[in-house]
Order: sequence, then C-alpha cells, then structure tokens
Amino acid sequence: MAVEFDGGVVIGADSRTTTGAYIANRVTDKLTPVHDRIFCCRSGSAADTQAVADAVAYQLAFHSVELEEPPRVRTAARLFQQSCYRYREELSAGIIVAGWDPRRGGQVYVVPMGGLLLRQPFAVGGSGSSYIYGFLDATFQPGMSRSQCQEFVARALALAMVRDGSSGGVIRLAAITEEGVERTVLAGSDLPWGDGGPPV
Amino acid sequence: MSILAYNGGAVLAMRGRGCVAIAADRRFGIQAQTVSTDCQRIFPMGQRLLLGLAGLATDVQSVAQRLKFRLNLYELKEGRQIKPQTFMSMVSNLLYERRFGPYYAEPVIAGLDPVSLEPFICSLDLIGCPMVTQDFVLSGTCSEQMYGMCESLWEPDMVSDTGDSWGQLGTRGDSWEHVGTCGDMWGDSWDCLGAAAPSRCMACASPSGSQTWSVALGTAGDTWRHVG
Repeated sequence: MAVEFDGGVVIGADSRTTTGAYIANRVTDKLTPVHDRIFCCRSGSAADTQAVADAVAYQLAFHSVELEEPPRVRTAARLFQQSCYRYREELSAGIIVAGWDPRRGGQVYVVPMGGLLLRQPFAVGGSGSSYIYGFLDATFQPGMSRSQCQEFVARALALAMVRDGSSGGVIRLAAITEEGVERTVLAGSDLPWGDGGPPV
Repeated sequence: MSILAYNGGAVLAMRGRGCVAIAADRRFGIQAQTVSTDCQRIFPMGQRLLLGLAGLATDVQSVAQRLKFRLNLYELKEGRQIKPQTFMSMVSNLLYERRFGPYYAEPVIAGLDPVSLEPFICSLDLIGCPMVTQDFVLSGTCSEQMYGMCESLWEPDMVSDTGDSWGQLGTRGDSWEHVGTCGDMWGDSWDCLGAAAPSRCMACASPSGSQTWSVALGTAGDTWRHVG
C-alpha cells in the first residue's frame, strides 16, 4: 500500500511470495525502485510485475536523461499503465506507483489489473487488501503527517497479514521525500497491534 | 485445491528416551483466510495417550469425538487403560469403516504403554493404514517442510527437557543413585563415567571407567536422585 503526505509518500508491503501453499520467499522485497524517488508496489504474478517494472525502469532512466530533470511520478505511472493495458489479457499485475517529484510533491497512482490509471490519496492492493478496506475507510484522515502515515501503513499491513494466508513475513516500509528514500523493516515483536495485542 | 488443505494444519510427534512429544499448530482457516488461532488439534485419549489430527477441521473433530466414545466403552468393558498399539487399531478400524467415503483427517498417535511406559508413536492415513516408526511421525499441509526438519534434527534417545516421574534424566555420562525399589527395565546401556571418578558407580556398583553397563532402571514411579 501507499499513502501520500505533504512532502512525500509512505509505501509499505509484506514479504511473502508463495507457489501454491509453499512460501518460496518469506523475506521478499516487494518495494521496487523504478527511479531515485519513484517506487512501485507489486502484486499479482511476481514474474509479470518484475518484467514490467524492469522495462519501466529502463524507459524512465532514458526519459530522465533526455529531460535533464527527475521524471514525474505521473510519467512513471503512465508507463506502467501503457504496458499493463496493452498486454492486459496476458498479464496478472496489480501495481501501485508512488514517489516524489519537484512539480507536484508526493503522489500515489494505482494501476490495477486491466490497466486503469488513477491517482488516489492512498492505495492498497494484493490479496490481503480485501480484509482491511473497513479499517482503511474508518481510519484514514487527509492531511496526516509522515509518522502518522507510517503508523497507518504498518497497522493496515499487520492486520492484513494476520488474516490473509498469502500475506505475511515482515513489513517493509519506505518513506520517499525530497531528501531521499528511508527504508525500515518491522519484524516479529516490532509489528504494531494497536491496543491489546493481535486481533486473534 | 485438495480437501485436506482447505482448513490447513499440521501435527508432529517424536519419540525419545522414556518419553514422547506431540505438537500441532493452532491456525484454523478457510482457504487463505485465517479465522482463528486457537484451534485444538491434539486430543487427550488417556492419561498417557494423545491423538493429533490434521486435515479437514470438521472431520478432525468428528473423528476425535467418535473415537473417544469408542474408547470410553472399551475402558468400561476392559476395566483398564488401552494400550497405544490397540488404540492404533481402533483408529484404523474407525477410518477403514469409511473406506469409500472417508473422513478427511490423518491422525498421529503418541503415548506411553500404561504398564511398561514404553514410548509409542504411529501415524495413519485417511483410510486407516497404520505406520509405526521409531523416530517421528507427522501429517499436515506442510508435511514436506516437516520431513526436512525432522530428518535433520531428530536423533535417538533425546530426553524430556522438563523431566518426568523418573526425575532428572540428565545425559549420558552422568551417574545416578537409585533410591527406590528396583526391577529390570529395558536393559539400556549407559556409558558410566561417574561424577568425580568414584571408585564404584553408585547405581550398578560397576567399577568407574567401565565403558557400558546395563542399568537396572527400575520402573516408572521409582525415585531417582541425580548425583552427577
């Protein structure tokens, strides 16, 4: 998931990759940089999303050199959308593009399966997202600070990871601002449960 | 998706020196969704007999309940506690009765013989084929992962961490003073080295430095004091 705040974005993801019921990787890094201040959160087929992200990263690097300035987050999202829409029948990819650019600050764009492009104040994806829509709608407030966003993302991911068997492992967070990208990992006892321990 | 993987779950039992251990996870799910984390998969069937079941949750409960019913009647008629081997046959019979419309549950049994306290473990498949092993048994949705761990970590004659009615079992090389009534047990061999190289081992009176000796281990309930 990803959340905008004034000055940047906070993005987060779980770390589980499964092949059937087997957890192939329990410490996956699903937060993929496509440029210095633009990341994407990948869900769906790992192969599809890695391939598309690699292609977009190349296109963005080239574009950034031509432009002689950091690329816009909207541009990165549009590049994702063009691949995801053109190959919509073949791909299984749900992608959230989030980052910071000098023109419009922190932005979150969602490119779900099918190839729609939409800017949102916050976005969630993946199989575990179904379980937390209620929590998100009840808890989100516009105008949250960076640390409030980090806590919001961590709590939401923790709740999804408890309920969804395809989600789990550690929580990887990244805060992207003009200054740069600050990455953190929440594992084991660091996971936030709100008041009174895990829900079940 | 396999019906045995619908709710998920795993059970595992191991055999050690004078003891057995059984363990299970507690997640109850419906496919990918976790519904609760306090589900019971291990059911006591006697003072020293435990049954663990993995598979479809409804059948785990049904098999445990129906088995307990049959076991209660057995104990009333026989007037004694059932042996683990006999209980295994009882489980096998219950499952095979449903050969062509089976319970989707795969049990593991761990227990001690009520008289001799010999440890016993076994597992059965969903239609009741029994398998007795001397090391470990397991069943569940992560059976391959458990086989890997058990095959690597299991070794013979592991002792209970928490001690038991035998008192502290210590480790090989320790010496023991037997203070209770004696009677030959398994004729196990221990390497006796003594705590402070006494002239005689206090338990069997064999000279210190003897490599192996048969220990009169007595019977369960005897008192042992660990002196080395």
